[in-house]
Amino acid sequence: MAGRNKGPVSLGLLALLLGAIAVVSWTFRQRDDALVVYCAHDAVFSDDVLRAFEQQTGIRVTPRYDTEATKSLGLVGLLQEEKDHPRCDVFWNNELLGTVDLAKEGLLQPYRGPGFARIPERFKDADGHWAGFAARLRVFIVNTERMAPDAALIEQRLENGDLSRAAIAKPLFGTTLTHYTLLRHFWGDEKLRAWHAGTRQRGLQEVAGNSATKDLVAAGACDFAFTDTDDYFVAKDAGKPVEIVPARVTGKTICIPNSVAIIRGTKKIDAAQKLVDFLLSEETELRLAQSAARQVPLGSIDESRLPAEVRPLAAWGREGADLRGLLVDRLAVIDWLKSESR
Amino acid sequence: MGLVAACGWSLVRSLLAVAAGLPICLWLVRRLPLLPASMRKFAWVLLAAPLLFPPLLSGYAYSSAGLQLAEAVSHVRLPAATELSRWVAERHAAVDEVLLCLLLVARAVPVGTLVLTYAPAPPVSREALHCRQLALEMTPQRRQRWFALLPFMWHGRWRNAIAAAGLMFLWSFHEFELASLLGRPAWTVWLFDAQAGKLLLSAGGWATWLPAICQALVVVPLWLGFGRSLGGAPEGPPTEHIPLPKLWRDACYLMAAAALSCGLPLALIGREALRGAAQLAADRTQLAWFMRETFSGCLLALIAAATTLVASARLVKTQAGRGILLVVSMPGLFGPLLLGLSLVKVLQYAWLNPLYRTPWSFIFALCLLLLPRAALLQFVLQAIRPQTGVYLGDLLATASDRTRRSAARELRWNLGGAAQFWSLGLLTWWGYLELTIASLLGPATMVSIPVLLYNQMHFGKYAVVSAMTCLTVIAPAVLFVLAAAGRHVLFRWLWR
Repeated sequence: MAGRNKGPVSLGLLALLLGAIAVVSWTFRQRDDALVVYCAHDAVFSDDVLRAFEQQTGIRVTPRYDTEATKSLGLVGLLQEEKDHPRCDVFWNNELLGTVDLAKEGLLQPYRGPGFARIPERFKDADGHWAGFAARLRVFIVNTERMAPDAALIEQRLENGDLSRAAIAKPLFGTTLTHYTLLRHFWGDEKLRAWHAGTRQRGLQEVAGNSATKDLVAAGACDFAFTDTDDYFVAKDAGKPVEIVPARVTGKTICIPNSVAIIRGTKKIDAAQKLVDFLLSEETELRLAQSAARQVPLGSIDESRLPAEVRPLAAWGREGADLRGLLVDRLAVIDWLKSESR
Repeated sequence: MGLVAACGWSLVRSLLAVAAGLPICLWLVRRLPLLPASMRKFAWVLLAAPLLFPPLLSGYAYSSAGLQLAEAVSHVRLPAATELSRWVAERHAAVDEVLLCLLLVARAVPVGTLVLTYAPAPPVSREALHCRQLALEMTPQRRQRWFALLPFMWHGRWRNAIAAAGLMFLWSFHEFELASLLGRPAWTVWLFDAQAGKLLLSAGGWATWLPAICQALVVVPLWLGFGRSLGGAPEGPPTEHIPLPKLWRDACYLMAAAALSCGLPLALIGREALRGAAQLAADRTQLAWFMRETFSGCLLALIAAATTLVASARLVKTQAGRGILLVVSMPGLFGPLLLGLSLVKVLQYAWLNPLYRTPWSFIFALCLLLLPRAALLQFVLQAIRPQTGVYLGDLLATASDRTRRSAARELRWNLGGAAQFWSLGLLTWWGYLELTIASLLGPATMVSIPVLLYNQMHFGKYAVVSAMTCLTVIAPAVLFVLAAAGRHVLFRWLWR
């Protein structure tokens, strides 16, 4: 008699389990309506934009972010892996070349909406597979208590000085990858490899991401480091003694826009187009310019509404190298760095 | 840094954690049973705290600890403060490494102590070993005496210590969140980044198998050597007398470990979390979204936890069941990362692909991960369960009188139900906070809050992220506390 009552292993618990399974099935069927967005832009900045889109349109968004250490390359790789069964509807990349790569592989759906029209030619695909918006710049962040924010001083240190108090993010990922791609384009493969090996030999610290390089400089553990403008502003807003100097390759700055594209095969084309228009709108570019990231708007915009710190960045941005034709260099750099990382 | 070097870091760190932690475990196992009952409970809570406290939260609180320390030193009003601050800043990596090792020791010690306390008594008892030692006193050669005693030690006192050391090693070797957020090299961080970055793992050659080989060297002997004896009764508590002042001294370790793993991280992010909570509360949309995703995560983890708990409770009762339990627990012993990566690989087959990134593949992976922990919990529950009392409770539950049946329900709750319920809570908690599996196999239409937070944590400390981290940790705990408080209503029909 007593053996019949087996405590928690009872019909009741099984019923509870079945009930929970039913709830999960129902919940996830409801979620199928949500727009899946793969987002390589920093979650702390992009989340606000996606929530604003949800509020404005009532379209639910499920973002999937990249880790800081594997910025953009991870999501580009995931989209390539999922090409036969795409789960993503819209790809918001934090750089350009990965998106260009996806377009070349035929994974993107062309769309030329009202947002596309306001972006300059240099920052969009002629066929409408992708468009750039809200850029940031590659810069050297300098601890002003350790050295003067002077481009010549930094160049000298990078050329033949001690780099044990300098840092860079892993070049296989994110904007550092774009930086390396541009270096290869202008310098050639041999010079880039020699520079890479030389800087490591002279002690250049390689860390997980741009925010880590910024932390090292802000805390005084490094004198200067390669980073992006959005990371610099995090340190500046925290009252750290830091300044920036734009990174240049053969005189040109490195202005890296976000890019957005619709994934071919999406079943939510209307919602996806609405999100693309929203991201390419003046409203979003202004929002990102006024955010803590201070991103540089690319489309026509009322300059009086731009924060004071963004205006000089916009001027540097106009001196930027054209990134559209660098796909071959990017793939060569990825192949080389992947073989190095094993 | 390549995988081999990262694996080397993890290996050395884990061995250090075992070397430092095992003596503490052996020492605690002797001391804990001698404490007065009220203090013993408190001591177990303190001991378990570092194990239960989410590494995501401690890792976040301690991220850039070396640099934070340097900054803190610079604010001290001492003539040499600036120089000292620079000195610390330049050695920030060493500070982070030492901190990581200390946290690993604090997290491994409860695992070891639990195993040593509740593992079945070894075949050679303490008394038998003592008799053997006495018998060997006649042997003139010390070396000869030692070799004669070795097999007895192996099957006696050392056996459970080796099992404890093995599990402590595995627990430390799997560590991911702490190493990643503290910015220290580890094979888990390398492999996770390589997977996320879509590097060709197979192209890494034999090195890709290195972490699996390291773990197999521990898992297989553990499985073969100790698997058969599971289910036996644990050894009785020691009977030696230890004066109270000494016991208080021992308590210092427990308090220091709990403070380092839980107290200090909470203090470090507490103020920011409060500020962030106010911001979060003001943004109703974000709060509603956050609560919805938290609830979804809890629900999936609850299903996985309940499945593993029910399965392990069934299987643990018979010898054959225990054999099956050991076999199905093996994948989970290799840790979430290798388990997740293997399942991702398996789910690429065309006929399984529809399951990839659905709630079901995620739940399945969680079940496999939680099974060894559920099994360990079942062995502990079995060891502490008063069988006679439970049987009497079962008899009372068949009474025709309603009041007696109600009393039987309460009795059975106190004798076993509560322990099973909190085991379910613990497994749900582990499953819900599991970052690696969620990142690799989480449903495409669900935002895993731990994954989201983990990604945001690398950008520094933000008030809202701190608040969301605290809420993430608190939410499932609150749900279970509420369920326990309302058990009279909620579980009446479960134990009827």
